[in-house]
Amino acid sequence: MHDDNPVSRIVQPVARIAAILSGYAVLAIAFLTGIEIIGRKFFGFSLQGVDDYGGYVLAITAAVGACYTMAQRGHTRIDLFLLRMPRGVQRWLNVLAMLTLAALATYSALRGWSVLAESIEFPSVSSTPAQTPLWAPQTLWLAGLTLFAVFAIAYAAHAVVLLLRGAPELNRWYGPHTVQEELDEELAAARDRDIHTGTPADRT
Amino acid sequence: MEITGTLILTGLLLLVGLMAIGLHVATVMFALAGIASGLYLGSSALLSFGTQYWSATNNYVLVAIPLFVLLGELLVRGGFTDRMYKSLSDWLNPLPGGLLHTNIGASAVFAAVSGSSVATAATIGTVAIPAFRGRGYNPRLVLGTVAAGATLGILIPPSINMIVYGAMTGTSVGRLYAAGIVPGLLLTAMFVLVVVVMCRFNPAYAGAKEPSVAFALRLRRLVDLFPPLLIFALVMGTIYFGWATPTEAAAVGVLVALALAGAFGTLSIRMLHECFVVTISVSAMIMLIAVSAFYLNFVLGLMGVPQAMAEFVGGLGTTPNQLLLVLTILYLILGCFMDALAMVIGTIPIVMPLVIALKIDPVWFGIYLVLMAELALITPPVGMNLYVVQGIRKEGSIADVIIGVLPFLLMMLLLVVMLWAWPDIALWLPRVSFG
Repeated sequence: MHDDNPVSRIVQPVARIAAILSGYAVLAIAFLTGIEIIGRKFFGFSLQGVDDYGGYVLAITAAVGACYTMAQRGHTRIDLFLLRMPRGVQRWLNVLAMLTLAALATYSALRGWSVLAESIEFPSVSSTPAQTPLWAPQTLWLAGLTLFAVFAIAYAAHAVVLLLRGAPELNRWYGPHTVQEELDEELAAARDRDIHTGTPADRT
Repeated sequence: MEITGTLILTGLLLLVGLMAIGLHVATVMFALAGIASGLYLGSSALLSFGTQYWSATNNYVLVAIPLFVLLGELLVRGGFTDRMYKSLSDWLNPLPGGLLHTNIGASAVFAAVSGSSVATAATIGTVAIPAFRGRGYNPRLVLGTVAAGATLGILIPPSINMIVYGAMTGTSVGRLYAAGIVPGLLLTAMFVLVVVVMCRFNPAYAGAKEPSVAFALRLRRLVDLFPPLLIFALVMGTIYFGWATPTEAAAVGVLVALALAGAFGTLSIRMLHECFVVTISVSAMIMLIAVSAFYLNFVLGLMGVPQAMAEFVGGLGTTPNQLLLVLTILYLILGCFMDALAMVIGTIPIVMPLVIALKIDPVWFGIYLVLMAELALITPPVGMNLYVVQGIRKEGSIADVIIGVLPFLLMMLLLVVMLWAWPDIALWLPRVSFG
């Protein structure tokens, strides 16, 4: 969302920290995989279960990241027709989009809870040699889904309030992320790179 | 329960309609699956969503997605792509069309390490478009080479589209990668050829001849091509020799990119964190759509839709070629307004049963589908790459980009036809590599 969206000011820092932690987890998987390949190829040993952990990391990352992506308005929407509708109609549709996203997130968290509850009740372990008790990764996964659900509800409620109040910021804060915005971010990142890495525009 | 044509058509219309009013693509697929299971399957299918969510994301094949996104980010933020562009231009300049070939070549090389076309377009575009200022090239052709060249990103492995397709259809990602190489190189060559031919017929298209760079400097800058090529070779090599699965190969790529960024002094905690947040954001966006699509796939399977559709198509006596013709038209239309990856993921549950029923090779179909997604990236009005390139340029009309892309669009369609006529363009390499 735009940085001046008051809900985003709360969501973004939290979601960003969660995303960075997920990033470290992905990197850790890369390192474990590297060790696994070298060990398997040259030393005949295996860490056992790197693929299990990889799967868990992806599940947790996808759940945690869903919240960060939402805060960046990064979940895919088709804006071709939407942007051609009258602004008043767009307001309603943007609210509807946020409400349905919140519904999806909430239902995911609720059903995720029953998946975890089952893993605890009937202690299940992964079917691979590592035999990880599934409740462990599923707890983090559910935490991610819950984060997603809570913040999605907050965004949706905020969007509804803006609609009822007739606030003009609604479409800017809750409309689809346009390609131009996305690109401006890429370009800002590129400039940033030039400053920080001294890239070679001047290396000719 | 009987699956009728009306039912399927209603479902499709609902899918397209809800997407058109701007709901999130993932929500729409989830809603459709929810409605269908509520109406036809009862609560057990609805309640199993949690299990479906977990098993769709706890998927080792898909772990390659965050790894490849991270790999691409490390290379971009490590400044490797900018250097690579310079070095390539040294060697491609002498061809008729000069710097234009650098756009295509750089895109092809970057495509080889990046899984995303928009990232490729933005990266190459930011370096290339300023480089053309004041050099007298035909602006439309410049824009066309960047926008079209960048679509190579999803055809030349590693490709995120192929990973998702492989995971959803149970097709080997290693085979898909191998199958993408020849068509990817062929399309690159066709792009280069188009530029050469156009510049031969109308030398005004190309700018003033560049003075060629001193040979010693060219040799020295050749080092800058090394990082992306090394990573590509490692990723594909470890898969080819059976040392690593595609996911493991992606991890190797990440480690090497990290080491290279460290060696070149561009690695920092700040840079790493920026790479992380983009990686997580892109992966989570893809994964949410994938979760919904997996769930829709599951629900449609329980309803018996795949069998019904296969029987329906079988009853019509449809030939594979007829089906592909219809699909090509359908994808060209869908691609005009849908995000390319969402299009691939969203249509797999419906299209794949037909493909299997008509005994079309799933590896071949994966490459075909990726080509369709590439076309979607540069067909107006919603070709992402068109907007990315226009956005970097910040002047003139987007019509310039659209016209500039046309010759390359024709080449892509030609490749689709060639792939059709000679399936071995895609299938030969996986056959000789993996038997």
